[in-house]
Amino acid sequence: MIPATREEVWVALRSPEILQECIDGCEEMTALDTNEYEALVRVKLGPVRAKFRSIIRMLNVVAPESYTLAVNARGGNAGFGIGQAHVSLMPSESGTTLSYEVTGTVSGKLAQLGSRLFLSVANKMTASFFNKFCARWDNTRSA
Amino acid sequence: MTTKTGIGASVLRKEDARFITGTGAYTDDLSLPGQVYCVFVRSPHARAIIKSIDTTDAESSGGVIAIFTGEDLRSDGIGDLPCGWLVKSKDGSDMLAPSHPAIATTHVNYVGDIYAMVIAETIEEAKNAAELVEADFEVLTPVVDVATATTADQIHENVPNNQCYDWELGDSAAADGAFANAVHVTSLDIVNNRLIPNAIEPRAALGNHDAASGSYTLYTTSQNPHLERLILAAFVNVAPEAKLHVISPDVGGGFGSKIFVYAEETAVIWATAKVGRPIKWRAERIESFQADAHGRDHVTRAELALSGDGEFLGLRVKTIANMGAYLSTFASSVPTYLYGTLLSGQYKTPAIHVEVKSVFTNTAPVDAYRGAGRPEATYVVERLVETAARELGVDPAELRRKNFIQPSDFPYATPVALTYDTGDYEASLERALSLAKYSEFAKRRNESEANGRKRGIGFSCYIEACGLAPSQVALSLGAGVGLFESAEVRVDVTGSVTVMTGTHSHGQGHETTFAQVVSDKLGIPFENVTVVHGDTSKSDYGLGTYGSRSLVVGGSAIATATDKVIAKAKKIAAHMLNSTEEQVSFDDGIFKIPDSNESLSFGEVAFSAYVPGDFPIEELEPGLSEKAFYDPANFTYPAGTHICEVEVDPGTGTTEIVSFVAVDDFGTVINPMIVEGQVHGGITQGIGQAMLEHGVYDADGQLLTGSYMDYTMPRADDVPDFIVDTTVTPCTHNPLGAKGCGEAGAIGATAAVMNAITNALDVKELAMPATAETVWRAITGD
Amino acid sequence: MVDITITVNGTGHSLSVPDNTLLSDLLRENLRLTGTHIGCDTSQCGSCTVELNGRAVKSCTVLAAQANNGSITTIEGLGTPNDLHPVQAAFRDNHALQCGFCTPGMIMTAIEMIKDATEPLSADQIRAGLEGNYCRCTGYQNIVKAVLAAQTQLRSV
Repeated sequence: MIPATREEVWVALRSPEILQECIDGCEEMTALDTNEYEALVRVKLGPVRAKFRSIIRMLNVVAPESYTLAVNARGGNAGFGIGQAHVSLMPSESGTTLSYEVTGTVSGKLAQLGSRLFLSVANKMTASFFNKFCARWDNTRSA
Repeated sequence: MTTKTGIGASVLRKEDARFITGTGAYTDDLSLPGQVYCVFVRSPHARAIIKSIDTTDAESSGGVIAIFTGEDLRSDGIGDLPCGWLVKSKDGSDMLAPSHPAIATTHVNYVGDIYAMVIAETIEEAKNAAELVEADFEVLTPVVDVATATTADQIHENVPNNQCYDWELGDSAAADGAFANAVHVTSLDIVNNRLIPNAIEPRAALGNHDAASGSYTLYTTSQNPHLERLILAAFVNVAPEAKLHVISPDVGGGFGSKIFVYAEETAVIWATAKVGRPIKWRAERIESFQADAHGRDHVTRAELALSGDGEFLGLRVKTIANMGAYLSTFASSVPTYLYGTLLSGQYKTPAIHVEVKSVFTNTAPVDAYRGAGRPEATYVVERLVETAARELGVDPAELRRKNFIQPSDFPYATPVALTYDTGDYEASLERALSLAKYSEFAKRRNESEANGRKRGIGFSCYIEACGLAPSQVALSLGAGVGLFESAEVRVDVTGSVTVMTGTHSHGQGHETTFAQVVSDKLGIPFENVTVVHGDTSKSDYGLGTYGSRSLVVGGSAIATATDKVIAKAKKIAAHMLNSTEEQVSFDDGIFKIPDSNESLSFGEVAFSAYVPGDFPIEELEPGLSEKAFYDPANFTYPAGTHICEVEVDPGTGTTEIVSFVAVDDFGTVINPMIVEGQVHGGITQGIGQAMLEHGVYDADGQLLTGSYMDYTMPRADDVPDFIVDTTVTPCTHNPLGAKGCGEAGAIGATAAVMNAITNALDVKELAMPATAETVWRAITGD
Repeated sequence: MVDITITVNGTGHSLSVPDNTLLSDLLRENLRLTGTHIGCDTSQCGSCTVELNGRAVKSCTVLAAQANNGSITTIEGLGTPNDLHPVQAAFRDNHALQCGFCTPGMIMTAIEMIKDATEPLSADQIRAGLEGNYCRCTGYQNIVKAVLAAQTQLRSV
């Protein structure tokens, strides 16, 4: 639940600065196109620690209701990660309700050593993102 | 004098002194001045086109010396890694072998396939730079499932239907006739699970190039350094054979996986000249999982035809064998000549027909792993026989007895190309039944049931063809190399002896066993014999260690060379004793002539050989050193009975092996302690296959069992104490009478365990590995 | 870089190594004590087991810095071929090794197990105690025999 209008949330979700601020381990975030971003993210997945150069695309964009976030993360020698998050925004009395669902697969060393951990890490990172994202609104309001 | 250390004595091992004090020298323990380090960059995809590789960032990373890709090797004339055994399809056509570059150039075909190598001053710097190598892949749909591989996307340009060959052996019409006359047919669908060998020492290589002489030295974890040298020189074109020196120092286990010539040492030895520095590489365990050749991985439909009174009439077997992404060094021979030829087992089955399709998939290459083909054959035959006994309601021991080849039948020609020379299968069975207290099994089962547990017993009467191999037979069947073995017995001036062998010890204890043979034959102290192996500059060309061949073939070469030493020494003794060589007798280290109290010790004769003051040099050469190349006349046929008894907790599926008996016929045994140790280790790997181990790829071709957290090998509390005994029918065609013991445990045990578990659960089929979950699901029907 | 002072097999060493240096690498690469082996990099196989301040540890998952001011015994510090530690001798006498690669770790684990036991260990307890050490060659039976034999000798001292 975010204390802002759906349109405000929608704009914030597409700001590279805000995205970088809210993604754990995100070192760079650049908008390549309207619906495409490039990010550099450090992730620890069990015994594998890797820096991912990720292309993030927003697909199936229905402004300001929903979109699918497709992440294609290249971790060099550690392997690849491919993830999708379906995000939807519903207006509610006190603001906007944000819900999401995460799926994904990993390959290479990540799959050999970390596949059991992958979904939990992906869920944790996503949860952390939206928690930070939501907390941001609280901070903005209280400031 | 030789009774305590000679043939048949459990002599403690010479090699142990260095291993228990931490002073062994394995490849990764060695370092050369100025050495640099190598990391391989491996494909994260099971199947992809390499569109481009960008090494710019990696090259500017700290400490980087060079980065090479497949194009660098190719343009330098480095050839593909070859497969050394040509198998023909039933239509007479040659097998199809895809190009197998050490470093991939256009496509990657399994997770772990190498597409770049990074060389840097430190391992840390090499790893950091490897992270920066950027490849642009076009990911393709991988072929993972072996059973459907022939109808999946084509992996290699020159291999339609992903089929390497479609091979057969035996008389198809005769087998069909047997089934037409059968009163009972037992059939089974069998999956022989993929295994990952996992020697505890990871593979490693340390290469050096001497620019002045143009010669290369490669230290590597190889079971056969001469073959490594031959292939790198003659097929891969790294260097002329004379300029390539290969050393396999202490090697920490192999189990087949270190027979093969791999991409890593190929790239290392090649690159060492490019960078002008020694290069070291040591696999991380994840690389062992990804890129060591895996084992087994068959899907089989098998049927046994029986008469009304339980006589075996015929056997039909159809197998699809997984080769993985490329053909490893001996991959093609494993599911054919090491598998189909063993389907007669210990039985007089008159008609046998086997068809094997070998297919490529986007998984690691599959090749020989302890037993190699023979465990798979034993599993088919012994699961079928046990199942037939249960279906017919006869005692499984009795059904086997009825069909055994009898001692009077030898030499026995099977319908699948082999001629067994000798054996006494019933003797092993009876001894095993007695040790397993088989007659009291029903009572034990009742007690278990009273305690709410399920108890089962299972047999495996295995046979193996070992002592690889008679060169003529092997060459006629498609082998690319002869399979004899070399030996040199060099007598020192003071009468001590140095033995050079072309075999390689990586746990087998050759330094001890071979010294026993030589000291026994020469009547000299065991301590005075030193065995040298693993160095291409020291011993003659030999074929290394695998296929339970070292004592059988290599030991026979040593025995033959020792006989030549004795013959020469007799000439010298005759000269010294003013007699003739015919008159000289040699026994227990002493040369004597009849009707005389004059005698000479071996040491005196040896000394004289090198201090030939009055030798008639026209007739008698100085020196005492002889060589032999021994080529066996036939395979050897170790055989035996394994009996496993298990107890299952139906609430959890937990299965405990409560008793395991192995009675093996290895012919003459040189060192019973070492033989028993080989059996223990083999059985444990066999149990591992049956109950714990499974190399699993997901549908995307990702290896899910890539660490010891996910691939389960037997630990100390997973296995019981084994009851091990031997019966003896000496091999009829080698000088030692030995048959080989290295693989027997792994060949026999798996079927015994699964027969026991299926007996306990009263189910016909159960997938391996029979983990607690699998067993629990079988019990609950979940 | 981190400065480390350690005693290894009775000899003191002071050296400066990168912060992330593992104890196993310090022993093998800096001190050239290569009897401690690396089998898996993930502390599953136990080949790298050494004694640190009286405890058996897997040196591939201990930072060298964690061992600062510590006392370490490796396989090289136990005995010599002519004066073997009782556990080393028991391994040889019971054919408890084949390729020898896991052996140093096995011996270090066995020594701690025997030292820690208040009562003589049973074969089952020894098997449980060896759970952290993989051996692919022996099937463990002779290792258990060796530990039982060494225990008898060490407890009688």
